[in-house]
Amino acid sequence: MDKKKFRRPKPPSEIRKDKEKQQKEAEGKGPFLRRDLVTNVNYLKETIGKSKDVVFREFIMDLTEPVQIVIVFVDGLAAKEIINEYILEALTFQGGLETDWSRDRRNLARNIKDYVLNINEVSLQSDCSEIITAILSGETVILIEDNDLAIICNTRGWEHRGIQEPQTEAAIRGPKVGFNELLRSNTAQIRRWIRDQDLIINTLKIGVRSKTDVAIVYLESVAKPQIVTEVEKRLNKIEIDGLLESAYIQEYIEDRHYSLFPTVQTTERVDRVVASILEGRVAVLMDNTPFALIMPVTFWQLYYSAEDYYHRWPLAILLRLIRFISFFFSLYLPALYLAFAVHSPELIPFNLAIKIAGTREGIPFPVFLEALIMEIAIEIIREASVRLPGPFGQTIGIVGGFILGDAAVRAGLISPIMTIVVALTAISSFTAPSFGVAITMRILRFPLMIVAQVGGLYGLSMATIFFLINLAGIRSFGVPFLSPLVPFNFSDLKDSIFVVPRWAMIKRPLVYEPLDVKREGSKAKNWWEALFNPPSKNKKGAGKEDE
Amino acid sequence: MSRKLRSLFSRQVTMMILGLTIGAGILTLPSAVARVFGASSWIGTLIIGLFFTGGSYVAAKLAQMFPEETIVEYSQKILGKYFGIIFSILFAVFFFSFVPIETRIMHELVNISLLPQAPSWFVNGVFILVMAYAASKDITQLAQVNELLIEIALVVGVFVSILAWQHFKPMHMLPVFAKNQLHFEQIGAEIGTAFSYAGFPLVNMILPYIRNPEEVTRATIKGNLLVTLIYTFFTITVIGVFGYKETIDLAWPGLELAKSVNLEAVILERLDLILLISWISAVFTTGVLAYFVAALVISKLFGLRNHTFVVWAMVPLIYYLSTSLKNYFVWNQWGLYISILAIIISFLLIPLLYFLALIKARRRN
Repeated sequence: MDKKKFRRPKPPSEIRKDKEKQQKEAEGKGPFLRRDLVTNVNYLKETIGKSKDVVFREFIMDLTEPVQIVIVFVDGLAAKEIINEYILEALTFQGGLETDWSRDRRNLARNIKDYVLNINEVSLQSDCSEIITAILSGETVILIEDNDLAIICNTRGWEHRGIQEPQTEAAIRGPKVGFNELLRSNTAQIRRWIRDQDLIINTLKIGVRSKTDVAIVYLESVAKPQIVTEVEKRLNKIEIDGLLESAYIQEYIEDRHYSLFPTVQTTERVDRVVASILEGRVAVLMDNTPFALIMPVTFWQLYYSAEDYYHRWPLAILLRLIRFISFFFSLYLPALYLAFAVHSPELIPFNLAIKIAGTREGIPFPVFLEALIMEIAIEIIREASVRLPGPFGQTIGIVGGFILGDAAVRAGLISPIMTIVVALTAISSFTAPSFGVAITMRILRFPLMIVAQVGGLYGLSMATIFFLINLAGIRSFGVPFLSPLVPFNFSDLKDSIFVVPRWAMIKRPLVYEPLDVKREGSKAKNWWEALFNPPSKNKKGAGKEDE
Repeated sequence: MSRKLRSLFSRQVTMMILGLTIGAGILTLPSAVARVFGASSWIGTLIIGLFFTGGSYVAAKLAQMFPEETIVEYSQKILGKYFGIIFSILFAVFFFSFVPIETRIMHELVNISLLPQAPSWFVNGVFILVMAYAASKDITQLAQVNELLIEIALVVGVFVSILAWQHFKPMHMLPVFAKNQLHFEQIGAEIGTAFSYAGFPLVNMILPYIRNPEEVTRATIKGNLLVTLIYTFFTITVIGVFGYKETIDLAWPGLELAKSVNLEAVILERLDLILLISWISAVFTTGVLAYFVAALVISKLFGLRNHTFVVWAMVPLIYYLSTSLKNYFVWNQWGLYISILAIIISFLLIPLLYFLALIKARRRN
């Protein structure tokens, strides 16, 4: 290396480039590669070489003149087979090649990229900080003597979980695939569902230290551009050292940071994300977690299950109805029982009131305390069954719920009717399809019980009005949270408390103001018109479905 | 006013007029009307409603002449600065006086049926605080809350009324307009119901926030016609079930109506509870919208950018006034004053403003 007999003088263009680099460095834009290999390698060794998993492999490429080359990668992140076969082998077996490009030592980096490497994703980079990020992301960097450009080869390949059935959102009917922890695999899954040229997958890095890849996925010709830019704006604003889960992003980009209701939907179901993208919403996926974020979201949407769309519509309507009833139960049942039992027993039918009073005889606690004890007990059982591994969790549920409840009633500590109320409440709260909203109900139940104890039915109705005031004020990325109920939107009612058949949902939800309002297919203007023109009536293949 | 502020749909305007107009008055309306019109009270309700609908047409037309301004601003343009300010104060007082009376009647009803022993500081305090919380929000949010609550109230109220038709006796509706049943000397009681009709001056305050100002006349008239229809339906139901003589003596004919319903399959012993809950939301919408408008007028008069401060500053005054309305007779007297003010504003001042504005506009041309 030191035996340089003749150095070609630097052409003026290179001198200009060097000056520009020095200027940039002076402005603090991070160091750039030099033409001197030793300096470059030393710089990298100083910054990331202290860790033993960073591998520096030095070798000589036998071109017209031998060229010193160093490749840098992280052991375990980079796929070794690719490095061995397609980088080392390709570079070392050139055997004194005599071509035009191999003589041009100063542009060797570009030429090797163009002529030698048979790797699919290769780029040139001179910014050291970019190079270091690339190495730490699992890519392999090739540094070449006398070249101030490094070649970055995509050799990312590490162990990861395969595609499995989503654990948190089970469905009887529907595709059994969930996301996994690999961002690329997740975006690829979305691509496999939507083969549309307008599907945009825009990636950015968030986290000063973790530099996590975050992808924004949407349909360009459908999603409202203001929503997309708003999402991008909020993502770019995030200042954090490391992202561990998409919940971190969620907390940063939420509309109401102090509200109990989530204004961003989370899911690990691929079909759910795809359906939302087709509706004109925006999905945000993060590396290292299977949970995707969907925004904007309405209150009702949190209560829809992906399955609602796979069953035939009569069943879907029934399921939604049951879910909304159980939503009401899970929030209000203990509070209502308290309000009636404490303040307005005269409103309960006479026979029922007698029954309740009979079962309560000899119970040592006031109703409120009884309800509170039972509710807290059931929360403890629930938390315990989540923490315990699989089969034990169910056992705890049975032991806790069944045996404890029964024993408490037999011992005369708790009235049987209270057990019924609490059990029904707990079971109702399990019907919520998303954990985020179920937990809101669990939290709200306790203040409501206190309100019912203090203010009876009057207090409950005032508390409800208070909730509604708050709910009406929430906007998720500019979309009113309670839509389509308020502001009333007749077109969006097609997919709300009831569901119309698939072929009648000819418009996307208008509340997201999609650019392309109509789903393909039917000629009808509205869903209620479409209901009178089922696909079998239409002559021209109107049965084509969009989703 | 920027484009962004124009957020209300015309449907929401209709709903706001319904929400503001239908309130505490509806429960007592039938007995007041029955005093004057006897068995054919429903015709009386209808006619009065149509009168007020006519008034609302004028108010909406006046508002449309100044699509960028509220009545606080254009009343000063039309009447001159001082008379304009006096008019605006009168306007604010009119809306403000709704709030204590709604609170007081709410307290009464809660004491009658839900919480017999509840002290007034608790019932009134909670109600006023929740109202103030809502009124301090912006108009978009308020319109949504109102839409939701008034829909619940109407659906439940109409449902209970329909159930009560099991006791409906057509005989009670006869004779139509018998002369001996008309008691125009009782007209004072009739005037007292006027405040159950006059919510429409709201339009003159909210027009700058409406998305399509050209649709506002239709929305207003629709709102007032709906109010008239609902009142008429309710009066028919009450008179049909109880007969006019009994209705006159009932303090809360609406509640008695709900109590009369027998439903074996329902889990509740009495249906007045359900009606009451729907009625609470109706009273709430009336109170909160009146509160909001009053605060908005005052904040505009003082040139404040935000009405939140005015809303919270009003809380002690409202509380004091609501507790000073000791009993039925006091608040009935108060209701009469508001009604006279309502009649003056909606049939005298607003048409006057409209007339003067028309003349001014013509002179300019």
